Amino acid sequence: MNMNGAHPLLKVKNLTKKFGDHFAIKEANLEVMRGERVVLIGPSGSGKSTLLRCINYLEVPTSGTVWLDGEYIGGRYNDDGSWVKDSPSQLTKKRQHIGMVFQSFNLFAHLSALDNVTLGPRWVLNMPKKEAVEIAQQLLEKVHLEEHSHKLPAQLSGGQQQRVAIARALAMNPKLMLFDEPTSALDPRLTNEVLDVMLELAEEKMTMIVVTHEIGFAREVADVVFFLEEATIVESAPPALLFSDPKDERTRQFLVDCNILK
Amino acid sequence: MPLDLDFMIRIFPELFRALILTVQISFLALLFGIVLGILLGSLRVIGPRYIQIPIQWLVNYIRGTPQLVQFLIVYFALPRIGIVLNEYWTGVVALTVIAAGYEVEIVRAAIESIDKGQKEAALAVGMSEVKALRLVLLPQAMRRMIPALTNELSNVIKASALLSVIAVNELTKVGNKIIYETFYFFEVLIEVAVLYLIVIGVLGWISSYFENKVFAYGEAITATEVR
Ligand SMILES: Nc1ncnc2c1ncn2[C@@H]1O[C@H](COP(=O)(O)OP(=O)(O)OP(=O)(O)O)[C@@H](O)[C@H]1O
Ligand SMILES: [Mg+2]
Repeated sequence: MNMNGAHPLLKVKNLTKKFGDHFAIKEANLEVMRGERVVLIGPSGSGKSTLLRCINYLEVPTSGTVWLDGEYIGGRYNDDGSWVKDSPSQLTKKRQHIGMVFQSFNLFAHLSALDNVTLGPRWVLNMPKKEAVEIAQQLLEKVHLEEHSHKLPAQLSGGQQQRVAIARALAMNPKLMLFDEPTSALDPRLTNEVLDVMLELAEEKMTMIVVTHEIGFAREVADVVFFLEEATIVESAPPALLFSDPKDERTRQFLVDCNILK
Repeated sequence: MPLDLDFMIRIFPELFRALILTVQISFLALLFGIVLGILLGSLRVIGPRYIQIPIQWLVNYIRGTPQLVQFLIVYFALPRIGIVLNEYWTGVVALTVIAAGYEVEIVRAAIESIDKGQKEAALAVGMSEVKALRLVLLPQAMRRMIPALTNELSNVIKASALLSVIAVNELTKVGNKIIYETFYFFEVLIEVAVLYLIVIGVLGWISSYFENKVFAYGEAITATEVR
């Protein structure tokens, strides 16, 4: 394995998702290197969430493939080149390698912060309770919540809930982390405490794809930024380039509308 | 028309025993009904279509036919398929069928009322649908079901009066028997009605107690979300 990171971890090829006749994402192509940090931006309804949700097959793509670290998600190619769909249990197993953080946190409402984090390791990875608790405590410490581990989600602020959600995803030791607008439901102060945690992750070279409107975050951590519009990936470039001198007129217009470009 | 209070007090022990039997049978039926309801209700949500559809037929049949007819069908059908039970257990089975028919819907509705983000989060950490249901959805759905289930117990108790036609010595049957022996219509019927009322009243009270608690829990969630 190439340790300096120039090694594709994820390859999304010609990915299309239709809802009825409507394209939510159309012929998307995307490669993410190991340790790379990717940010997706674009107007509402441009297909950012759909693209993320197709990567871990929460949404089954209409066509196209998702390849993660040596295997296709959702199926495989036979020797004769025909496509065989994964059984539900095969798909479930592959999904473990992809962590996901949702805009609405989605913490398990009946469980404490600690139990939210241990549930996956215990019941999916069959880890002994003691070991799972140890890992969970370390992760809660990492997201600065060690003192809140016994609290129910309803007793935590939004920012705290989102950090527990990040710890929960990390507990599965994923190869790839997906963030779908992790701070959109939070006020600026809480946004920062979540972004700080994500920044630390980025510094540790966690491979991540982040949908966000936080341009500051994108500038700081992204290796590459993708701009989506009308279900299409319009262009991609390092943030310094994309935010200052986009090639496509649609990107320029979006950045102007967001007051990023004049 | 004055009531013969002495008579009413004299028959009380016999009616009370019948009432206990009624509550017992109803409670057992509710319990089995809950187990069946959770099983079928879960399958109704995550099962394949060829399982979902027959369950829906069963539910529609149970809700769409008179309970008396269902009782008689169970009463006559069980021996036909080689299951010979005494009246008590025949009554339990018959009432279970009725209870389950409603509980499937209660369970399904409770599961489907859980925010769909919960299931997605469970799938995203690598759980199967079955694990997501067992570890995340059902535990949350359970607490939402409690008021509906307590309420359902009252319905089952009322339905149990129909067991009198299959010779179970429950409250209505025993009341009838005393009437035939003594012709004290009003005394017996009023006493029987009052006994039903007390039990169902108590259950209603328990039900609203749970409902308030569950509702309070819901409020606590929204209140802290705003913070
Ligand atoms: N389950 C669904 N059923 C039908 N249409 C859907 C569904 N999910 C998404 N869509 C449609 O697909 C398109 C892309 O949606 P998507 O949620 O991916 O956009 P987005 O870029 O994430 O937008 P936002 O910034 O508002 O989150 C939209 O037009 C949306 O209405
Ligand atoms: Mg979205």
